[in-house]
Amino acid sequence: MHSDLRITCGVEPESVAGSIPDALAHLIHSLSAPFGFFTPTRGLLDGLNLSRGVFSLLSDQTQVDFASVNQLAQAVSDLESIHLVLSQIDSEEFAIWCGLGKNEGRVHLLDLMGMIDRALIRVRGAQLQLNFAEYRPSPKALFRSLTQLGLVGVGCDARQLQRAWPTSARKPLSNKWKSQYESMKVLKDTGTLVEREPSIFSFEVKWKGVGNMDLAVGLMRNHLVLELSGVRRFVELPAACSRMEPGVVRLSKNRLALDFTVDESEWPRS
Amino acid sequence: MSEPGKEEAPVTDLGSWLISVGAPESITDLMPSEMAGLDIAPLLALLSGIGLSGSGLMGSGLMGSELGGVRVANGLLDGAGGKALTDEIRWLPVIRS
Repeated sequence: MHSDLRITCGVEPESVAGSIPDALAHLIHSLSAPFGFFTPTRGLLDGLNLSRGVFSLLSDQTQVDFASVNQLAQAVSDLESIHLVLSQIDSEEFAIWCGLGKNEGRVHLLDLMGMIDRALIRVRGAQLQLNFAEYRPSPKALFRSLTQLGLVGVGCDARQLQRAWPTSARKPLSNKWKSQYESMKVLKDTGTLVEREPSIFSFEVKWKGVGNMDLAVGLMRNHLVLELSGVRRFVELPAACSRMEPGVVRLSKNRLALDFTVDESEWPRS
Repeated sequence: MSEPGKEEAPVTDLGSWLISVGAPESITDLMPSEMAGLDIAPLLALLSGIGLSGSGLMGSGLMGSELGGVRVANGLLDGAGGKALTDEIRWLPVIRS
């Protein structure tokens, strides 16, 4: 489903103009001061930077520019990281951090999360346009960036990419790369927990071509963290996983599976 | 560059403060001028008065501080109220097949 947002990648972004919603102004303050946004905690907030585009995605503009596909993917990843951190915070604690009253803090926290939710839906439905006039990456680097973009849930029309490419390249894209770009899919699967054998479950996520990627996989509370060169996507795990011990991740061609072992003493079968 | 023998002016506005604690200078381009120029001297004085300078708060890591009688730590607390950061990612071994 398309949103009203149009994103151009390959154009140096100008600073966001226009009025800034109050909630966004508070976001800057609340994230930059008490969270230690620029000297972030280790983990989720590590490496986030508002100036890289999170700010643009949260604005109500209908046209947003990014210098590269990689920057767009990184900004969406950062936005989702902030959302996950906010979803784990106790509203009272958040109110203290922001110097707000308890009720005000709760409302403000919900406002921020709603705002980020809407921004994520909007960017995932955005019309993406690539522009190689100022900077043209190598086909290999572009493939990696587009994979990162697919990981965070944003699709790129391969035909649009091909139309954009010859206008600035000395030679057209080879058939090999065209076929690679066309094979790129957006990660949409929310995962399924299946019982492989007694006491061993597998949480499986389908994503075409995942086996060829240099993907790092981790856990953060009740979320699976998928990371590709610094760009992250979070997949919520079923509640049952919190009472099982995670094992290894198995990457096959179009699927990743994380094994969980049931501790019978923790969870006896009837 | 400040002139030798001359003290730098204290930071009193939000934009300069953000830059002084590590934000990129372009942060002020992203903010309306009224916000960047917001006088936060009273707030900084207040924080300083209770032992929390801006950078001290951000750089305090797990040390935390007392603020209004409530313990505040720079990071997420675990469910039991412990001090360990709970936003850390536990990376898992990956096997390709």
